Amino acid sequence: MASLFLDLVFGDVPLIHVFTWLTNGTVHEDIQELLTNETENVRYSFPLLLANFIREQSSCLLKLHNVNPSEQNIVSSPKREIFIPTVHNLSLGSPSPNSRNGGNCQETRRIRKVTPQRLDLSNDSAFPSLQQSAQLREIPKKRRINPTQLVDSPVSRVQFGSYSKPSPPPITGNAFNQAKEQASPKSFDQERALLKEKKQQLTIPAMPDLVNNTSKTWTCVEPDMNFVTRQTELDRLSALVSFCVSRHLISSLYNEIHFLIQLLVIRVSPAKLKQAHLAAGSSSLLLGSVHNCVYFSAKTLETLEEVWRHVDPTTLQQLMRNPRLLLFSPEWVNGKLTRLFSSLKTEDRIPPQKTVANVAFQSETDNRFNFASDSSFQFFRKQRDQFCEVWQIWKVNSSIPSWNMALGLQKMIQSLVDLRRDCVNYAHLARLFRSQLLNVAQLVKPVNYEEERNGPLGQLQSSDPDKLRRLRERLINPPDSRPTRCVGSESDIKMNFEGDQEFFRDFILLAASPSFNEHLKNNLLSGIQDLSSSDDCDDRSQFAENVIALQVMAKFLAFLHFYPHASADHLPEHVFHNLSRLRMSQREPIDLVSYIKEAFHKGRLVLVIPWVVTYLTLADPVAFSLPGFHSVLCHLIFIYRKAELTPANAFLVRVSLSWLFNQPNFPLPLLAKSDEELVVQLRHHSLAVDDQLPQLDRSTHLVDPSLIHQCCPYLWSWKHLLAEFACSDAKSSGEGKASVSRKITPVSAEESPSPVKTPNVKSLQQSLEENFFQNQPASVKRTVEFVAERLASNVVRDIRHQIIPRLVHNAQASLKTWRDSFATVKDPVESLCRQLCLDVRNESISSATSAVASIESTLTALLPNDLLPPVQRVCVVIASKLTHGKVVDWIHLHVTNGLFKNDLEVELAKLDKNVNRRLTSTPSATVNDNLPVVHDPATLAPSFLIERLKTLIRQVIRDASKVTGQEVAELLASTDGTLHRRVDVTPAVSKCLQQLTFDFLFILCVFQPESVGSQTIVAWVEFWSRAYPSRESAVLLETEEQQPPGASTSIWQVLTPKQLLLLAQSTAPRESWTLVSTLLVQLMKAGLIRYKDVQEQAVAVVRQEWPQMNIRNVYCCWWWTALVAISATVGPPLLCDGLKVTGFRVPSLALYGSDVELDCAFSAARNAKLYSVKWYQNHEEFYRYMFEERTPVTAFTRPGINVDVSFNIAIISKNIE
Amino acid sequence: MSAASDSVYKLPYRNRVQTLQKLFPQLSVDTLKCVVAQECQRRMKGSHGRLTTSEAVEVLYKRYTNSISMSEEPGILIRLSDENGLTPALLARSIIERHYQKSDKTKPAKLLVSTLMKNTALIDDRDLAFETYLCLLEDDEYGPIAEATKQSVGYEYEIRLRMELEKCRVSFLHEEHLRVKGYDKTPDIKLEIPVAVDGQVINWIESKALFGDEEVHRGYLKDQLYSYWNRFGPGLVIYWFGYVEDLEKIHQNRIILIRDALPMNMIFMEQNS
Repeated sequence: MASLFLDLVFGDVPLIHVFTWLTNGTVHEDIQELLTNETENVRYSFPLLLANFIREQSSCLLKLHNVNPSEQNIVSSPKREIFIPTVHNLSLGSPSPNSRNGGNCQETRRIRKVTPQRLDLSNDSAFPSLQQSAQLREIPKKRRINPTQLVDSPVSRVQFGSYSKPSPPPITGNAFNQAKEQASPKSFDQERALLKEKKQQLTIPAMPDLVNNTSKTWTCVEPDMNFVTRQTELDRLSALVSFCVSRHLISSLYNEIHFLIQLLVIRVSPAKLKQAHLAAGSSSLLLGSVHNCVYFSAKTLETLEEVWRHVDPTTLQQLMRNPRLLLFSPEWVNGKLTRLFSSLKTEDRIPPQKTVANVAFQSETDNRFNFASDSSFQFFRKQRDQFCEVWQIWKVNSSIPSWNMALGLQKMIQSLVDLRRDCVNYAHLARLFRSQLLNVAQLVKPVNYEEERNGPLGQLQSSDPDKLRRLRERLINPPDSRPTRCVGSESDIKMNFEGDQEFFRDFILLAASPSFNEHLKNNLLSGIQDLSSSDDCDDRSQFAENVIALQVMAKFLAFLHFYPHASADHLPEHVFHNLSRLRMSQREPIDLVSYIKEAFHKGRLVLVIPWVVTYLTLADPVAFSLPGFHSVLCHLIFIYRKAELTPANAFLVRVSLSWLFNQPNFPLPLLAKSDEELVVQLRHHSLAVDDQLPQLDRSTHLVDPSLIHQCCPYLWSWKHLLAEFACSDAKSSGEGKASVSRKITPVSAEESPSPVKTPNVKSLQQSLEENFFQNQPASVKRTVEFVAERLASNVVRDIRHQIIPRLVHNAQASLKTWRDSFATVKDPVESLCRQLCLDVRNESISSATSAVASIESTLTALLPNDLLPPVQRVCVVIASKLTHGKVVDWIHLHVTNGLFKNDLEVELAKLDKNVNRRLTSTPSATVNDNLPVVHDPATLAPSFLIERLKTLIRQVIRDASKVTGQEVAELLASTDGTLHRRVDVTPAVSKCLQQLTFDFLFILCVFQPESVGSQTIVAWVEFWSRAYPSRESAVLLETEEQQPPGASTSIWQVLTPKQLLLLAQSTAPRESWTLVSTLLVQLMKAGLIRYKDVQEQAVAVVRQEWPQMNIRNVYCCWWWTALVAISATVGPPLLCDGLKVTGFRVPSLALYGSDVELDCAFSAARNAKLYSVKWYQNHEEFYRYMFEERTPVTAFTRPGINVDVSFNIAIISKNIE
Repeated sequence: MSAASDSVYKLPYRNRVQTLQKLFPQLSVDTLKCVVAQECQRRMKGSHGRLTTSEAVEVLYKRYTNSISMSEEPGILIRLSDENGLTPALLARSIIERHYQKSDKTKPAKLLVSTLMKNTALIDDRDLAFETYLCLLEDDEYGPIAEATKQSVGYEYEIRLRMELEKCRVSFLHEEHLRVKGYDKTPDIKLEIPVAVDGQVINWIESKALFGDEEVHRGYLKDQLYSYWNRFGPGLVIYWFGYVEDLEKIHQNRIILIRDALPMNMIFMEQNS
């Protein structure tokens, strides 16, 4: 085959005939003999073979190319011995290089010879030749790693690894010098410091060698126009190649350009060249010399204008500044290329900035109603926070090389992923994962182009240290070394993720949760489906977002799908076949062929191809051999050859595809197949509907260089080659950086395409409707569906938040009336539920109907203006119907008897409880209901009031400080103000105030009876009964048996042991007693204390043992007990001030075994009717007198007590033990 | 302010607020109270477990009953508390628990104990009831009265924040709205239309009626603020009683502003198109 090319190139057949043949297969007679017989086959494999041919021609030279510094290092000298070149100019008559031309070509090469010499570091003057030889082009290796070396070094620093700046060579004194001068020493210092620091962090063992490497200098053959041989042949070859590339015949666009740039920057040391010549005689080849290579490359690059139009400014700049290109095609560089560059620059290139890095909580999708249960919801809340936490930890630590994610986060990740093994939680987590992933993928790192030009590394350092790290990694493993390895290996799959995506990759790996993976897969699939068919692509930034988002999702989908098939080893043939047989029937998770077909028909290739390629790039070797893949690849090849897109779009699509074709596992034979053999069924589409969809492929404004570079990060390698050359060549630390501009907004999902027609089943009306939409613009249907969907959702929300709570409330009220009236209905809940359900349904329907009324105006505003009025009316009708239908569906699904049963049963249980406790008040009446709307900030803050009351009480008890009646009144007023004119009083506070005010008053009664009058007490009680009506505070304990005996939990505890103890401390007992009894009476009058409670309290007091009380206290105590006994027994209606205990006699001491007399005298008011008098010993009642009973006296026999029932009301005899 | 929160550790326990007031007259009483309260809570967190083991409580209870039988002056528990380091209310609670212990020496139900603490009149032992009551009056950090105060202050400032926002015509949802809408995390204020403060966009506001020192802030970050950030993006937390300088550094790259009042230099979205 090679002979064919040689004949073509060296012959004089007009190339136009070859071009015609390549395009349509017509064989002109001039080339007939060249092609002999197998024309068709050759025609399709021609480009491939051509590519191979050029490579063969240049392979010898490329092998010698000094591109990888570590290679150099292998032969490098021991560290302390440094070789400095001394240069002699000498001409070598080359051994006759060309066999075909019989060696009549005399080739002369300019070569710099390197003679190693031992260097004395301390002696500067030892190297005069270094300073003087203006033509010397020393090439320090790895200049990009250590750019400071390029600055004029002070004399004292000329030592190991340093580089003296040569006087500028006159030939290259243009762009490079400028670049060099622009870079201020200061920024270089910074860079140096930065790199040093990074270096120390980075514990890659290769690093010291690299550093060492910088000390090496070496020379290379400089290309020279004058030494180019066989210019015509090279021109012809170049024309062939550029034709094949520009007509998309060569299917590896990316690779070819990469190769051409390689040729352009080829650098071979003369010594090696000499060796190689002796060994292989490579000069016989067309591209056997550096001069020829560079010439060919420059000529070809020149013609590929289509490509340069779409690369980013930095690459262009590198090209423009490339001295070789400048030398070989100055017109092009200075003319078109410069114009192109300036046109790019003037373009407004401010990337949309997105600064929000978190996934927003959307109540539509994230709130409680999207979960099956409360616990599921609560668990997800934790999962969400933990996920964000993990992400933050990673972000902080990932740039620290010694940090290990598995060690640091594995436990956390695993626990959060499987926190609750429930499909709902997994689904939500997967959604969160995807949202965060997309958010991050689109996050913009602001790029300033000016700064980038001046000091890219410095800029990089400040904006994104992480990126710098990645850059460094790439420098160590240049991307072009990749294809030599097996792409299916685990590490290779992993390599596709960079930057923040590493986190998500490792998250999946560390979580190791099959369930989560499955959910994530589904989520990504649906995301791809949604975005691929999304319509919101007209806007440029929106489109860019979608493309990036799709790529990222496809990448992760591929990761999930192909990762299990990764292998680090090269698979032996039989294992390979076994595996592929096993996977024969495996279904791809995503139907790529149909996506591609649809994209082709609808003109959305530019959106779809990038992600398809990303997906396929991650495929393992076995996958490429599967039949399902075969068809996909055929389609892609066809698209590469035939698709018609606007230039920028075409470039994006083709360069992506060529990257895929370039994968080592890609079955190359496919590329050589003819169009017919590919069996692609891409028929041309002519449906009217599609006119409404934006034909993305045809638009010219969507794709710009920055998007292309974002989608195809591998384009970086072009820049890399050029920059590396520039760096080592011209002391410019030009490390290009891909411009990044990212942003995402999730796009609403579109309904799946209209269902297939099955007229037999469907009613005529439905098919009518379908046809209606079929013939209207697609937007009409979408609008109608959208409006209906939103309206229905609003109605449902209204039902859920307004109608249902209101009706349930009513039902609960009626339940209460039922409970109060003791009606005869057996099961009120059941019937109420039924009624409630009916009510809700009716109300909902009517609410839907009223909502539907607004449809007409909405739709008129949204639908295209040129729709006929009848069509609009139909739309309104359909939308109303849809809305109605959706609401009814929801009602039937959700509004059931069961929905209310729970509410009502709870209410009923509550009522039952309350009935048992004889509480008549409505439990729902809380303090909050009484809250005023107006807030008066002038009133005392509740916290302040509590504090004040507390302090007052403390002072009264402890310090006996005086509180005047005036103060008490003021306190009452301010408490009243706080409780009734503030909105920030919580129930707990209100209760606390109740307790404190009561305590305060009681304590005042005890300690300072003089400042409390009965009027004060009346006022306070009046206030309490207003503020705390009808004992709502009387919440009972849940478990009765735990209650202290005889106590209720009411706050109004007048007669408890504690209060009695307080009373016992009174200095003026009489006054205190009187006041307290007034208080008690008032409380009872106001209904705050029930008669029954007082009785219980009294009993509890009497049951107390009061052993070590002094006499006075005992007296008080008994006196008190009697008072209680009597006053308590007076029925509340008759309660008045008239009841008084007038006398009370209990001997404090008595002889053991003797009788004692207990005497209690009282006087009652006229109408007062006494109920009972009771006597207790210790905790037990032993005597009771009931006034109204027929036998009023009951005596309980207690051990040691004999009661003699003989005197007046009661005479008790007690044997003292 | 950080000076105040540092020096609080070195002061004797009682009446520290007054002492601090003399030391730092420029600071408000509320701030100082907060500083003291937070120090106390921190101390209790550290020692509560150790001081309330059943053995320790047994010893305390013995001492208490002894004192009662000796008819000592009221205030027995307060004196015990001064000696032992537990705050009065916590000590009283332990004693009540011991007093109501069941026959098998297990602790009584929590609910019962807190009911008794809320209404000491219900305690059947009159001495214990009175002693407990005195303790509650004395304790500013623990016990139902202190709790109610704290809760009240928090709510008071929430309301104040709402009113100030309303005055500024900021449209927002507050906690209760959010809860009804089924949010899983509810900041005090979620701005329906974001505003900008000092060049930062904020989406939510959390009101904290206390002094923001680093430990407090870290706690809130973990439980609340980061959760809000995760859901709603950058926001603002107001420590009404001041905060330690440089607190914002803790958040690293997550933007949560810290202020001690509602900033009045809010920049609003332009409403007229």
